[in-house]
Amino acid sequence: MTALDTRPETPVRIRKPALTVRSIVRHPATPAFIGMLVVWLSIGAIAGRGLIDTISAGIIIATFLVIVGIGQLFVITVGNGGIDLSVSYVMTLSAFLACQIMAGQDSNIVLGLVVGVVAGVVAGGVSAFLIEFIGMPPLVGTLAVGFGLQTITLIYSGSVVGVASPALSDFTTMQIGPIPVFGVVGVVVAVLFAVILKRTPYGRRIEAVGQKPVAAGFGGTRPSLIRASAYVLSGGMAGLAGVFLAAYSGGASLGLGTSYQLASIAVVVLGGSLIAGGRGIVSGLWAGAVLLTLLTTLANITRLSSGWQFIIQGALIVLVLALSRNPIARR
Amino acid sequence: MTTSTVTRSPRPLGSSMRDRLGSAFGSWFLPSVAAVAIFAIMVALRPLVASTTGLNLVLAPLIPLVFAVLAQMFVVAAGDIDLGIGSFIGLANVVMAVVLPTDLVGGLLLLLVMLAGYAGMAVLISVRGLPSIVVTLGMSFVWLGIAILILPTPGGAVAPELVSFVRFTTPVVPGVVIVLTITTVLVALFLNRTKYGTVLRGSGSNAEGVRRAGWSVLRAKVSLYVLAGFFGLLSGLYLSGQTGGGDPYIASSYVLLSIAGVIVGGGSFRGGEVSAVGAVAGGLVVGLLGALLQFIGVQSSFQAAAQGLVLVLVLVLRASVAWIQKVRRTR
Repeated sequence: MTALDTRPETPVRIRKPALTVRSIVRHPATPAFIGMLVVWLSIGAIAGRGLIDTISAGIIIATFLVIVGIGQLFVITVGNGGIDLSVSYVMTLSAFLACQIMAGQDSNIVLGLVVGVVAGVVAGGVSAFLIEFIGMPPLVGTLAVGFGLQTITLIYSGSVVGVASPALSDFTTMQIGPIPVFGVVGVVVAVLFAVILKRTPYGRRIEAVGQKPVAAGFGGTRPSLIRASAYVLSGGMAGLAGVFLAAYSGGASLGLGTSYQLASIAVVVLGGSLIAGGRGIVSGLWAGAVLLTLLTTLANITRLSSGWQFIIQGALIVLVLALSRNPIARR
Repeated sequence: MTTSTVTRSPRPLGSSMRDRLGSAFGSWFLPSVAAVAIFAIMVALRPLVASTTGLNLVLAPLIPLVFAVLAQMFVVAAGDIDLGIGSFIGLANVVMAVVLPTDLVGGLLLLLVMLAGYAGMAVLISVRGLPSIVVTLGMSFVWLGIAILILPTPGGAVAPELVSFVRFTTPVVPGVVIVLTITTVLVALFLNRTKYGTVLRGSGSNAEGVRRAGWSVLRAKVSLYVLAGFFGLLSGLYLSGQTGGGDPYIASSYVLLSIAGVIVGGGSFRGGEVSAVGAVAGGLVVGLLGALLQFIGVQSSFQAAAQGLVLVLVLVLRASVAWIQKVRRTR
């Protein structure tokens, strides 16, 4: 089954992007874009709110999810049961660290961002070490790192009162005309990583290792190193997203990253990437992130309780997984 | 000091079955020794722990955790991991505290529907070849969402009959010891001494073999998940009786702790290799360790990290033992 299912993704087909209607309809990212449009239009219909306002607010908030999700996408695409459950804890810790360093001063923006990202990279490095060199299942390794980080955050946050720098906060909410700058950042990041994944040797190795580690090994890559790099990347991206999110929401809080643990996996699945690895779709991830964000907006407008929001989010993942076209047995 | 006892276990992996120590004692032996050792340290610190009242006080909070570990054990036996058990137990707790006292039939029906949900997950995971991690993670949000819908803030009151059932004890032998012993013996006999118990374990380690022997792998998986759900409900029952109220988030820490308990108890993520006695002992080790840390005066915020660290240590030492054995064999 596996051999047959993976055939449609041979490089031959990727190199010939003939833009027929059929190829667009069959593209794995299409359902996410359709879902996004449906939710967007129904918000307009139900709330009577301006469509432009809705989407420009939506893509700002979705950007945090896009940044975390890309890291998660690399970890999942690299295969071997890869999953990063530590992202939410990395985000929270990085947010606290960056807020303490920035302390409301614009001059410390770069240092704050760097420290936030480095903290994430270190956490990702520890996960990678536990998983690739000790041989833990990714789930346990990242969860253990996550709980360690949570404890560090709990102890550390008690003594810290930090504020994000005003300039960074303004940056996340700034608009030029109707165009939200931070939303554009999200699109640029998505395009950048789509190019990295599909057009650079490193990205091709990520997918190759996810499809057949042994074959990729014969092709001259070290699968365990490539996999380790994905966890490091995921940690760094989560750190970056945490700093931005703290700037956007005015400061760090203990629950800052919590909802991103499931959501980061959800957007990868929603976007048409294979949960078993080997195929990552960054464009679909972006659409999935906007879809999830707009879904929350819709739930807030219609005054759905948080219970329903949880149920919808959870059921959506299971449904999309159950209906996705080529599931490959992994566990 | 206690971890070193656990970690000497040379037999978590099937390849070590031929080990001499392994033939003398099952994989349950070392975790049991570790549990007794931790308990002995606690008695040495506070001699009153050994009295009937002391035993009840120390062991009672561990019973829900031990049931959660057993639930996780059945899922691990299927070769899967359940990330939704914490929310599931939380929902069971909420149903028992809010729905059952007012509407007995409706509450019981709801609990049955939850069990059916576990069967449904098993079918989905088995038939569509989905990764259990993502399905159970998605479902955990569904359970949590339903629990929050029923009970937005902690509250409710468990029926007094339920409370007295859970707090049942005898003057000589503490009730908790009776419950633990009966459960352990029943589950161990079922898994190791009955035909279907062997089929269930076999379905996790060698599904193809079980299929060729004429047993339904799908039915085995459903059975394992339903058993897991049943023990999740039991865990919720004891939590409800002990706390007397409902809280959707009451068991959120059980996700990592239950996995830790199974692994400390000699289980393997590859499926099939589980031991009921080991799982109970593993649950006791993880739980008693938390109590011991409290005794020594370790801050509660450190405890999650300490328990996570034990899990990491056990896995690291197991990996190194497996590595040493491999080196020896190849020589």
